[in-house]
Amino acid sequence: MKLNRRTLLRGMLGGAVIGVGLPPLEIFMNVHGTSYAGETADGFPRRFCLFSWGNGMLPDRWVPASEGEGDAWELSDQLMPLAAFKSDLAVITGMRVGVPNIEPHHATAAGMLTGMRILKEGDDWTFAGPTIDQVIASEIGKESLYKSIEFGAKPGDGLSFNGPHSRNPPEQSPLALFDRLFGSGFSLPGEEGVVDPTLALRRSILDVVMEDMKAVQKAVGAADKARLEQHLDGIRDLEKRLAKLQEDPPNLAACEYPPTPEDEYPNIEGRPQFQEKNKAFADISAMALACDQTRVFSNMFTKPLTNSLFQEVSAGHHQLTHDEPGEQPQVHQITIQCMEAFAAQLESLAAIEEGDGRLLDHCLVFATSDVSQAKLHSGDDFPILIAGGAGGTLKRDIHYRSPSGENASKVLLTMCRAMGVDLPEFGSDEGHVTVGLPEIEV
Amino acid sequence: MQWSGSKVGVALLLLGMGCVESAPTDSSISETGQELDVVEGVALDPAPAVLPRLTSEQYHRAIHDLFGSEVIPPSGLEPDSDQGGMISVGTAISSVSPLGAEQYAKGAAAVAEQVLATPESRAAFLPCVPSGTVDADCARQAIDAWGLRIWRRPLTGAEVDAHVAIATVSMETLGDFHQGLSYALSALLQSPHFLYRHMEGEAVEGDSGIRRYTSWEMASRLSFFLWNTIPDDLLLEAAASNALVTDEGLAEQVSRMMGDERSGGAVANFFSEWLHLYKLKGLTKDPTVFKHYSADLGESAREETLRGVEHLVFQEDADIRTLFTTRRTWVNKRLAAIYNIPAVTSEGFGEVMLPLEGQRAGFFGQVSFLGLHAHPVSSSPTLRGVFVREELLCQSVPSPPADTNTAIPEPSPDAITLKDRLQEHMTNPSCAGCHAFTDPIGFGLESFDGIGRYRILDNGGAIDPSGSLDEVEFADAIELMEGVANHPEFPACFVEKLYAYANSRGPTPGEAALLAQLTDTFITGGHRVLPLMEAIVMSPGFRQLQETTP
Repeated sequence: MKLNRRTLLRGMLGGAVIGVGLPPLEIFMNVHGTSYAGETADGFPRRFCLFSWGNGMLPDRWVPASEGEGDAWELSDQLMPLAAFKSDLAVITGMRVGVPNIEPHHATAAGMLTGMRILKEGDDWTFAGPTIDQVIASEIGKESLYKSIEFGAKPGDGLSFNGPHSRNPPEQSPLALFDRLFGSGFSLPGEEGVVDPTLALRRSILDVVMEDMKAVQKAVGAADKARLEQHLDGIRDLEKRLAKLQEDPPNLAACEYPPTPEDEYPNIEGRPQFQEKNKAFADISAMALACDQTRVFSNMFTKPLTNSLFQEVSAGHHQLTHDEPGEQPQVHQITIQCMEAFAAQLESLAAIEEGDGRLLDHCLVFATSDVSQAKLHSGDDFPILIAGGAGGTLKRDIHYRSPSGENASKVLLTMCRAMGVDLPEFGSDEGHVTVGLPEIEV
Repeated sequence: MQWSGSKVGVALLLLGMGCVESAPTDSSISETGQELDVVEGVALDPAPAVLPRLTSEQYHRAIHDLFGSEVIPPSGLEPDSDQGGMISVGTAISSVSPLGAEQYAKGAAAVAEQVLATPESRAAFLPCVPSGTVDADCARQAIDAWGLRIWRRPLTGAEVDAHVAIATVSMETLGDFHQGLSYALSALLQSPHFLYRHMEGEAVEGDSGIRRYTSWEMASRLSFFLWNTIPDDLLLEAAASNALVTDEGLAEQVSRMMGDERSGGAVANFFSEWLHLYKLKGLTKDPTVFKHYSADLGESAREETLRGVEHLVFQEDADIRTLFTTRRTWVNKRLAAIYNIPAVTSEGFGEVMLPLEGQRAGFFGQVSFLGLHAHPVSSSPTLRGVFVREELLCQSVPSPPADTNTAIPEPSPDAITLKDRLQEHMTNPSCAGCHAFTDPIGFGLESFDGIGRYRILDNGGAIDPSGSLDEVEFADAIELMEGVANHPEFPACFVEKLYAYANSRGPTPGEAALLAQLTDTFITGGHRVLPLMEAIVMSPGFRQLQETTP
């Protein structure tokens, strides 16, 4: 069922036509009537989006030939799917993820997303700290209904960590994400908050559950305390959401229902419908930002080491990265498909008008992978893309190539600052930095 | 896995190649083999309790056991995560995400609503008839009775009060007894006392050195290990009478429980974790390469393996190593086509004996193994070898080194088959260390392609299925299977896996002597699974713990 927002509004307000381009945004003011940290110049909050794909790229065909801004640089082969967004894009090459590469694919993914070494326990591993999306969400995600959302066409267990052994599992079904965000309980702008006596009762349940949780916490060791604290955080989020449901929804001009996704996206010829599924996710997640249900999302398109079959190629992705001879035309073809998916995510963000510009202009979209060249499991010359410019705080239409294999964590620190999260440093050990990357800062 | 360490000669050999990370400790081979009394007399330094969360399957089974098959459990739950391949261990380490907390709340509300929705259901699950819209006494009776089963222990007075308060406020607000009571039931079902298995143990009177699990805690430990679900009423009664801290009381329940059909589900679940059968759900092959692939193949393969396990463990009480050598199996039409044998039944599964002269036998001859440890378009001697090392022999295979060109040499007139190319690959010293550890095992199974079809040619070249397993040469798949079954490290590894499963954690160094003794018992008893489960339960490793320092 696809609901038309205008019809709904008209029905509700007796046929009055709602003006578009509503003024910003008392809702984005906090209770003191002042704006939040991280707000853009035209009064919108900055949003952070992560797009990740598995198995890296081919540096020879990834790195643009020339450096600089504007006309000084051109897109490379593998970046051509992003042609429509060249002026939104910062391509950063030559950066190094220098943590010990003790768990191919995952160690460098941990280095890029946490600035820390992977935590290895025997043959098992976990990330040692929170990933960049959660570092930022902890600061800017407090006011929205959901601190962050995670999803992906074929994301595996996901790469969004709150800390060791604490993942945020990605939604694998667009319909499940749609139902969660836009199902019962969702109100369009102009509608009134839900008057529902069960909301208070549901909160009273959570109070008792949290008391139980705290009682157990007192009796267990440190690691289990932390696990239960993580669970408690989730319950607190839930309680906050129940409270917010009683408020009127944000008065946001751009907020409407995204297209309803398909029930399922079955494989065709053993190949997932990557682009179709990703497109559905992209539309839902963009609207989740526009409706201020969240300010942070992670689109984990494919997972590290993914061995999925893509359209038009003859073997699994990971196998090809190691076995395909020569210049690896099929691996190249898959990277192109990953960039097409990234372009689709950008399109969804660009299609939504917000204030005088586009939603994309108020976003920082960070795209990266788990390795650079998969055949070598390399952490050198890591793939790093930033789109959207974070409301004018980061340069766009630029290719910056590090001359010296700089620490990739510099990008993490710069992104935090661009989002209004003012940290003195980022990462630890080989991933530790105290300076960002001024070359891409405005 | 964190507790794994390689043990005997192979590991020593490989140390020289930089492949095995830690020195062998020889911890799980018994020095003496003399101490046959499992309960007494073993040097044990008990491990602290862990805090496992119910797996998705346990949650679903619990809802079923509590409220019957009419009540539909929630479909979305926090996903299980594995540690060292085992979900039962991962569940004691991983945290619940915000999405998971939301799903637990939604799921609990949905279950509670169903339980109290219809007159029939109310009659079945309410211990009293409400006197009106608000009836605190009846609510109290219900919460008492449900609480015992849901939390697997009696609730304290304060805990009952808190839930009665939820119920009565809800009844008043909603003007409905049953709707109101469903809020209290929903609270019981999203409590950590339901979702987690919290254990503190108790000091043993008169024996100041020993701390044991309480009788109530033992009830849950037994039911989740032996049944993979919550305790039934008889077990709760035994717990209430403090019987489960005594040898006799424990033995009586173990014997009863092993004879109950629920033990079948638990054994299947262990094998599913150990042999990674739960990963078969997502088995994907390229249908343009493998005409026999279909989306349900993984499920069929899992069913085949579990039917065989059920037969070996329960019908025959056989030496579990038979799993690797038996010619008996159960196939449906799809599997029969892949195995190139006549289908014995047009619907479902039928028992078959694989041809004696063929290369296909045992678990290594099944799609469950051959298809899972392979690529979407081809076989992988490496992946198959890694599984044997890590899961069947409990040896650690290090990750490939970084910044090395991992490409396998391209086919050439001198190296046509994948085996030839991998052998060429092993001439690179930085690859050889580990590939020499794994690939020669997988060479024995090159007669089976990436989906498990038998073949004699690979890329047009004749397949040579000979290889070696720890200096023992084998000529083909059948000899390899026998080699794994008779490998001296297999029994200790199997004991380690089952012990880890039972305790939701890997063994600690303080349990080395106990594991050695369990291994001896397992070997002398003929490598049988059910007696080993019983021995684990009766052992102090399952009944004692170290006090937790909060």
